[in-house]
Amino acid sequence: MPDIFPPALIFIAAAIVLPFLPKGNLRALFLLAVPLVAAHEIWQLSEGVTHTYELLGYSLTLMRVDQLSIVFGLIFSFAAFLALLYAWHVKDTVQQVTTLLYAGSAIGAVFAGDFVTLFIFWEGTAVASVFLIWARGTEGAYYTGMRYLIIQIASGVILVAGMALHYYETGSLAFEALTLGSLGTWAILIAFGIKAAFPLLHTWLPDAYPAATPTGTVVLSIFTTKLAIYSLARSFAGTEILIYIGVVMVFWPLIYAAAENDLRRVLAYALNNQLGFMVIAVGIGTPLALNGVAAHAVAHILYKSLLFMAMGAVLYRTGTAKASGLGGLYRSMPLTALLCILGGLAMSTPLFAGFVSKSLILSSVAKAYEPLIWAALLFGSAGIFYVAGVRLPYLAFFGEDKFAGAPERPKEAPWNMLLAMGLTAACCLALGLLPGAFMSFLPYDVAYNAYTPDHILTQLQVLSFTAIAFFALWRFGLIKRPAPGILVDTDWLNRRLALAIVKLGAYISRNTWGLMSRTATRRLDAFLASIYRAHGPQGPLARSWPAGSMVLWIAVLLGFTLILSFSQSL
Amino acid sequence: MNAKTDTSLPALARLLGRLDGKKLFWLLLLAGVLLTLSDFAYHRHEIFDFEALPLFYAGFAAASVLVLVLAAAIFRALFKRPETFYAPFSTDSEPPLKAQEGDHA
Repeated sequence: MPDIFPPALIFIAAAIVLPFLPKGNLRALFLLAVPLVAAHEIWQLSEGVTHTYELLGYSLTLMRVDQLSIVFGLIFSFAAFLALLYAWHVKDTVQQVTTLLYAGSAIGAVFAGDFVTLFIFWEGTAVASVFLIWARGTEGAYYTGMRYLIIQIASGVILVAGMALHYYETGSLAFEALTLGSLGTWAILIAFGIKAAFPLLHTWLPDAYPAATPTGTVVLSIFTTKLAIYSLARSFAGTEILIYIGVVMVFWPLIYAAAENDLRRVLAYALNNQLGFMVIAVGIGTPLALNGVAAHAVAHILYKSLLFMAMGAVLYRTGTAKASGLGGLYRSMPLTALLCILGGLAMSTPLFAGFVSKSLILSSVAKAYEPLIWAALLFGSAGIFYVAGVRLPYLAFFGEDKFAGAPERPKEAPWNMLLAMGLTAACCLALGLLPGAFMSFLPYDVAYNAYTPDHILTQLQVLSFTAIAFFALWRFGLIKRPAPGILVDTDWLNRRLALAIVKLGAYISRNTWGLMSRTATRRLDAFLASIYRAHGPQGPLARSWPAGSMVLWIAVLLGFTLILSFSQSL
Repeated sequence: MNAKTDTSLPALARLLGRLDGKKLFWLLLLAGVLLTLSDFAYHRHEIFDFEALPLFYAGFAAASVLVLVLAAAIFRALFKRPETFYAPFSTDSEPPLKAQEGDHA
């Protein structure tokens, strides 16, 4: 019997116990203790297969431990702690329980050693997380949650189909490196791609994340997409097509993020863009690139959580996260403003975690000598800093003071939100200031120094001229505060076009059926009328009707009998 | 009242108020120029030939923002719809959430 209790089961056991605890500080403390205990357990793990179980005659692996799974398990646990601290004030048992189940499922999936175990936890993340959207309690949130759930469950169904096909082809259920080629491996890639928000499969992300509660969005931003990145790194490292998929992910969502009004949707698109960085690095697949994937997943979870927390605090205090209704908030929410600016800087500024992790990815692409991909990533670096590091804080906290005439200005964020944001910012800074310690956790033993004069100076040039360009264009009126409205994405195809096609199909089939049934009825009526005219009381055949009809039917019956007897004798 | 001198505001807010003006732009520009001048002060180790172009990183970043702003303008022109476009099946047109005043001490 292993000494270590599986971390996923710690979360699940806590979720079962939690409803029986009284609401209040005791329950909140219990919630905070759970991820810390799980992180402690993960810290104690030694590499190898530590837990197996039997299911329907198959020997399955509940816990396969290596450095890649440890990195993701630790950051998931710690990010869950930060998110639960941020949500200290939430008294809703459903949100508390589902947050634990969601985190537990994500960690369970990270340690899964086979596709069956992965599938169980994969679907666990889908079912648990939707309650964070429904917790908003509005009709729109209900429908958004349903759309989210359908696509997440579909990802699981495709995963199980891929798993079955792969098992049929190879006889293996092991969750390990795969070679793309067979139908099964393609299905598995698509299942991962749905959760990783690949192009055209991405719209659930900007649709669902802004619809959740202020705290729910922070939790959502941590797990699902990074679990998919982990799965891609585990199974499809070095798969070339991922490089090109990643490039599209860098560009397409960035344009939407630059145009959107809802600042939480801006962050959702920005998140999608950063997933593109990680997908490209998975496609490159070298040890340096895979270290970049793990490092960027960690950094990204932290700084994106910080930005979502800041926007959640704004939403919590003002009731909106739309740029058209915000501005000038630094006057009454200065700490939130400062922490949001730090979140923006943490994405790629030297001394912060994002600088180290992005340098790893850019260097891995440069070493693979992919100049166009490298240029795309440089564009993505400048673009994401413009979108989430400069434009977003400016629109929310600076510019025109939208609350100047309000009877009461919005208050500063509550202490728990500030503490969670402060800790998250401190983590971003600590990982950036201690790159050696950060690197020592990464899966591969590769020497790398992010803090070379080249890296620092070129990155500072990129960041400073990105900010200069923003302020210059703002001054010339080429960048403005967005007006209310939404931008339709490719989900218009299924939410409007497909619906219109279904409605058109229903209209055509309904009318065609009506036309056919009317024609058939008319023809039948005419036929019956003609028989009636011939055989009816007034018809010419009515005179010999009884004898004539009887002879006719006897002849028909005799004929059938003859055919049947003949066919049986053959 | 000017936020920089409004004593009713927290000290941090007054400090942040200094970012909300022309001075920040000029400071950034000065920093940017100094950083760009560093290109001429030491030899950078380029991997790609185009990195050696004068002002490559500064120009690339500024051009990236310009391209992004133009692309966003085109996307807004093509794809922008009223918030009620998907109503009642999305949260976009729903009334704002109730702002929370309480502090959770």
